[in-house]
Amino acid sequence: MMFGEQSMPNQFERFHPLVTFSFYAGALSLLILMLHPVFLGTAIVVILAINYRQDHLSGVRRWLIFMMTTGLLIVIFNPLFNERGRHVLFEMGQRRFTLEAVTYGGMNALSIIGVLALFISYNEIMTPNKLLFLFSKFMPQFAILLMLTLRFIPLMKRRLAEISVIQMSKGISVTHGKWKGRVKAAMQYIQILLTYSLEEAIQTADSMKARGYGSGIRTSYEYFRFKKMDGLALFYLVMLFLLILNGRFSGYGFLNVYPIMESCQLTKMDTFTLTLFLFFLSFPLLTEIGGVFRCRLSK
Amino acid sequence: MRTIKTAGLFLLMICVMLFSFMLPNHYLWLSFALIIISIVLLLVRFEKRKIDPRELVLLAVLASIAAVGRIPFASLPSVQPTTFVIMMSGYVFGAESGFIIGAVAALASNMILGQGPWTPWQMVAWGLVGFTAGWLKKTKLMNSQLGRLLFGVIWGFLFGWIMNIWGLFAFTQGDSPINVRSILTYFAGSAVFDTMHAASNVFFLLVFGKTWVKILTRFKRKYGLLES
Repeated sequence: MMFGEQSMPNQFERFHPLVTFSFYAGALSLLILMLHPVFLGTAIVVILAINYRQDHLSGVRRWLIFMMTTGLLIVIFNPLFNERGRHVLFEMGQRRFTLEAVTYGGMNALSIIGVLALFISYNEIMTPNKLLFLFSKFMPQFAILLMLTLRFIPLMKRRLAEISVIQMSKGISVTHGKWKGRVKAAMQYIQILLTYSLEEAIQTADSMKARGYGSGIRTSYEYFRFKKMDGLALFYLVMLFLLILNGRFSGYGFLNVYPIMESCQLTKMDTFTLTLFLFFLSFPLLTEIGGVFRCRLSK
Repeated sequence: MRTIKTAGLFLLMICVMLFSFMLPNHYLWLSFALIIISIVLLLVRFEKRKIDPRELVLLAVLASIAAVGRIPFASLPSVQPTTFVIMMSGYVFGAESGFIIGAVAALASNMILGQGPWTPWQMVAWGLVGFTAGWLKKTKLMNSQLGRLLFGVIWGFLFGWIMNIWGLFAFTQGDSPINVRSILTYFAGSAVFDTMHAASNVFFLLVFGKTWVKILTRFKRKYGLLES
């Protein structure tokens, strides 16, 4: 899956996992903090562009219905339960629907859609391998536990298939018959899987011990080296993040809705913060351009 | 080296906390900060304990069974044994192991199904299922069949409610007022799923509870694992 249909790994994917992870953590925080329609709108465009570069939006297409319904629900939910605001759009029975509440709901919707779209990209780029590498640097014991679990999941799936073939031959099935019987049969499968796997686990553990687990510093399968490029990238991201936060704390990049709604018009400082914000979010795209540029030069 | 890392983590946590207090009314941000800090604290504690490979593999097996357990139930909507498996593991192997199994099961299954902003919440919710099952192990509640069933019912709902918290914050982040009516409506929306969850917990505990405790206890005694 990892090497299947993808074209060449792009520049962004080649960064050290710490850089990649920092980008996603920072972008997630910014999407939650910068509640301003212009900021969020442009952010979504940039994130979609990142997704387009990665897989031509096939991931986004898979999640589209979920994203849209979540967004729609948020837009509806807010004015339904929140009557605060001065600009009444219309009244229905005894409910007031205010412009403020609709704006607020719309911004939340944009923010959450942005977060979901960001996670689609994250799932593509931050492979389990990279996450495990990061964990193994900070929490080696937890990392090996996670790695073992990930390795056991496909094994357990295979064993379950085996168990179900045997149970089927005895006439026990989880897809036919009464509901109660099916639930019971399915749980019986899991119980068989448990007793089967527990004994085998001891063997795995003993062979781990025999091979010297815990006797020294563990090395990892794929080693990522922190290069000069990574240092520069991390510096770029951290500096931008701090500058944007500074702007946010001074009140830029945030639309006050209550008590009095501001206009969406950007002030000079807002525009400046927006520029920084876009430079942060489009980091994966910028590295791409940088990569192409270097390619040309070397030719 | 280890102390430096721990100190660094604590420093990071203090920064996140300060930061959260500087931004009043950003509930979504605050809730993420708190939940991630609490997971990290428990993982740091787990890291400190020297664990035998046998125990490590046992934890991984239980976590992966909890995660994979959903497959045979695919044809039965909103019935899944994950909560039951974590509950039984926590009950037999103790609170800390219970939390780890729950958290790892959530994280690992999401590595396959796709991570989302819900991942840390699932880790905590399932982690707490295992934690409380181990924590209440010696009380009267967990030592009577009726008490265990009650425990299953409570977690069926509590699990849904924990997941609702993040949903509610996502829906009304910032300073939009969260009032009783909106909370009730939101929670009523998930009531059907929560009831199904509670009912399936009761069913599993009733039919398989005793057998699972027996299997796991026998295994624990046979190899002398995770006995605190």
